[in-house]
Amino acid sequence: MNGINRTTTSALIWLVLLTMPYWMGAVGGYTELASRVLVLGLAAMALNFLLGFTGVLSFGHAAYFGLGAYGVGMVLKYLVPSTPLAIVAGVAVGTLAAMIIGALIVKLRGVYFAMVTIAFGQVFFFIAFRWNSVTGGDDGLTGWKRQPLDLGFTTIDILGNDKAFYYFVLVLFALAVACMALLLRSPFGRTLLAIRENERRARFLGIPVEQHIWLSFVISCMFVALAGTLYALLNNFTDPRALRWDQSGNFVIMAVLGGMRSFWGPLVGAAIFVVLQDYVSSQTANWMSFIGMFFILVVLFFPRGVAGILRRRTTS
Amino acid sequence: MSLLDVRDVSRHFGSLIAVDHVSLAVEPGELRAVIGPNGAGKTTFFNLISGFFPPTRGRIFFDDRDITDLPPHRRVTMGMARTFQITEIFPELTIRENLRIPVEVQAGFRLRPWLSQAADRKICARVTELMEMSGLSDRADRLVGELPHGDQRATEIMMSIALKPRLLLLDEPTAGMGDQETYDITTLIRRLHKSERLAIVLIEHDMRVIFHLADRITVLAEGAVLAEGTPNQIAADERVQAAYLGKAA
Amino acid sequence: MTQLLLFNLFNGLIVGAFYALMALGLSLILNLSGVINFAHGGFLALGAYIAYTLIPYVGFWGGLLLAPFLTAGLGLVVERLLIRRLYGRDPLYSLLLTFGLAYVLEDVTRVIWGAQSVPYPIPAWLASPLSHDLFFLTGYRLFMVALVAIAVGGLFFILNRTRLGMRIRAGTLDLETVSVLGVNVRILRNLNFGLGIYLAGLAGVLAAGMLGLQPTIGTSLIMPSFVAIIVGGLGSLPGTLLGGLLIGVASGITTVFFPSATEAVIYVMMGVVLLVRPRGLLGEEGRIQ
Repeated sequence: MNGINRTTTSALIWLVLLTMPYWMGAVGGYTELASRVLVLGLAAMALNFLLGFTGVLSFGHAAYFGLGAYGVGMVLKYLVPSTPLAIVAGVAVGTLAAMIIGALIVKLRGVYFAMVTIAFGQVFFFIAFRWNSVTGGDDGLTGWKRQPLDLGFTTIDILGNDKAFYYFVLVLFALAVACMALLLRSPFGRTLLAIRENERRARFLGIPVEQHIWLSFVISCMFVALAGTLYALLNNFTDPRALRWDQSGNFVIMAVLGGMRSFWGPLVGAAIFVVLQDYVSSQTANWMSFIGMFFILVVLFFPRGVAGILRRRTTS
Repeated sequence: MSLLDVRDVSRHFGSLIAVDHVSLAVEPGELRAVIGPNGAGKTTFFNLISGFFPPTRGRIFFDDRDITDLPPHRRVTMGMARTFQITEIFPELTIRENLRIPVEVQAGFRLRPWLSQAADRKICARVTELMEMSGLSDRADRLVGELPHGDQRATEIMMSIALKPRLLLLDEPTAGMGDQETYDITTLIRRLHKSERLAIVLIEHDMRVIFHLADRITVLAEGAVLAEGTPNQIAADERVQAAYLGKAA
Repeated sequence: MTQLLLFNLFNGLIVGAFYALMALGLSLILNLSGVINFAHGGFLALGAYIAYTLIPYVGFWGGLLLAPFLTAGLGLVVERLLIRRLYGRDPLYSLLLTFGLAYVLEDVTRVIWGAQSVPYPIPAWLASPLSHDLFFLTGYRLFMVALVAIAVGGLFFILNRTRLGMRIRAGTLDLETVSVLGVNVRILRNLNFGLGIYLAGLAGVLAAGMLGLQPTIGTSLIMPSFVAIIVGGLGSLPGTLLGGLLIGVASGITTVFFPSATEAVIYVMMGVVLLVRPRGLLGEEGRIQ
């Protein structure tokens, strides 16, 4: 993909994102749906930092997504009614967990790595479930709301105003995405590509592969935790299902559907998935079967995702 | 002081003795060939030197430092680079991108989250230099996976050179190549040996290549050192002939 | 106290035998084909429900005998139609496929048999305890342990004494060589998958008798199976067996002293194993790559 295409694509996407609340209604959506696309898109892009760009199969990212969600909820409910602080706390908790778990699993590869990430994901789900005095158990963490942002000279009502919240999310999304883009284009980012392309060769070029995978893991989980905080803020509620293994699977399918080798792919995948899920669950009680069949169809017929299809069109 | 000092190294795989009490010393700047019939343990030997797996017995010294327990990436930073029997490159990246990575690692940038314009220019210049050294410049932006075998091998060698090694291990660099490609790679190796002033240890089967390049030859057979000497000495050695042609000779 | 400890130890052993049975099926499929069968729990549930449906016609023993085979048959079909296409590719895809399959299986089970739990009938003589003192030794629990032992014994017999088993073991070590030696690898993988699913179906039938039957019966058991494999050792079937028993016993003992930590202890064990010996207790070196 040459440079001109990349800039145009980015510009187009930013244009769409900046204006989404205004045309969302016209196509049958609503602002909250737009926010959900952003949040899950961020999660999918964060996962793809590890999956698509480092080539590491992580299937337990919901754990860190959930930790972010619980972190933000618990701070707002028990500690201090400050949204920014709660977000920082949520991200910190998720990142810390990733640092510890990452260190434990970094020597594993392939399906074994995937298995262990799934298992660790379940640990946190189970903790959230059991510790119901603190986390609300199966009912989730309720009784808190996102707080308006007090900037001193003005207050932004992200609680009452859906559009304001959307743009708040968009700002954080932009920061996170810019960070990831910068990293991927840096020397460090290139070592991750090297690891993805040929781990043995990377090692024999002097790259301490385990260390770089750990770093990629932590960075990826940090941004997923951020997405988790925003998800909880969006709902004013922390759902233990945010931590479950099926949420992890959803993130992966979003990345695959949009295109793992593409930077923006996962966002597109998230948009399609969110809209589809929204539509299907309103139409039938058997949405689980549909989502399951959707996974199977994507894997069998669209493994390279939307980006893959577009790429083939432009080169042929 | 030898650059590489392999002391009485053995490697067992269960009951199979792949490398049997091998000792070898390589001087700075030397070009040593390691030859021997198939199954003699040559690649296993390389794997021991480069740290792919540890020896069952013995020690390995590089620059007078005991590197026996060092992982591969640390040996690389100490000045050792290698190529593999089956070319190991980054197939879906371009030549330019393939070379850029080791250049950045060598410059100490592997953890850098961003590059200044000045640093970026220096990196690009070095990459261009490496491509010109090996005649790859006109294919710089092609995906390495799509290139002919000879170009892939040349890229792999230049990736190793980018690391500014003092010792370069080449595992059958001309394997599977026709005459022209063999000639090109051999010329490249000889040129690099002179210009970069490094020691090279070379596993090869093609005798023309060996006699063209090597200062000394070590012959391995059944995991052990059979003979060692100058190309002429080895050519005349009856034991070597027997090892290649079979015990009946 | 001792009574309590013994009770929980025995219970733990039963649960462990169970985890082991399920994990062995998972492990078989993972080792030969490199596929994490996320749908394993779904097949477990299916096995239980099929048995439940058959019991009115063929009785408890008929259900026990037939249901695993029928489930395995379905497994063979799934492997042939869906999973087979993904072998050459990145393991990511087969994981996603079995993931989606798990969703479908759970929903289908719910549609056919309803979301409510249904009672699974077991013969009365099995349900009664053996003696008053050892009240926890109900016939059914002993029966389960015995059956798991027979199944595991059968599995190891197949693996070590039959041609199929030998080919599976060889294929686990080096599939390419096995193929070059003339073995039809496609059929091998297919049968191996069927064998794994048979174990899942059997585990389902046994579980139903003890836990009651509902659509989510499989999903709660799949995680401990994962942990059993990780703890016991990747690539090693005896390891998986050991892993299952260990985590079962560990959670059994934990129930006595720290009841709330019962489920957590298996994950703690997993963490410890990963820290100290990443390839697992009986795992082979080089398998984690």
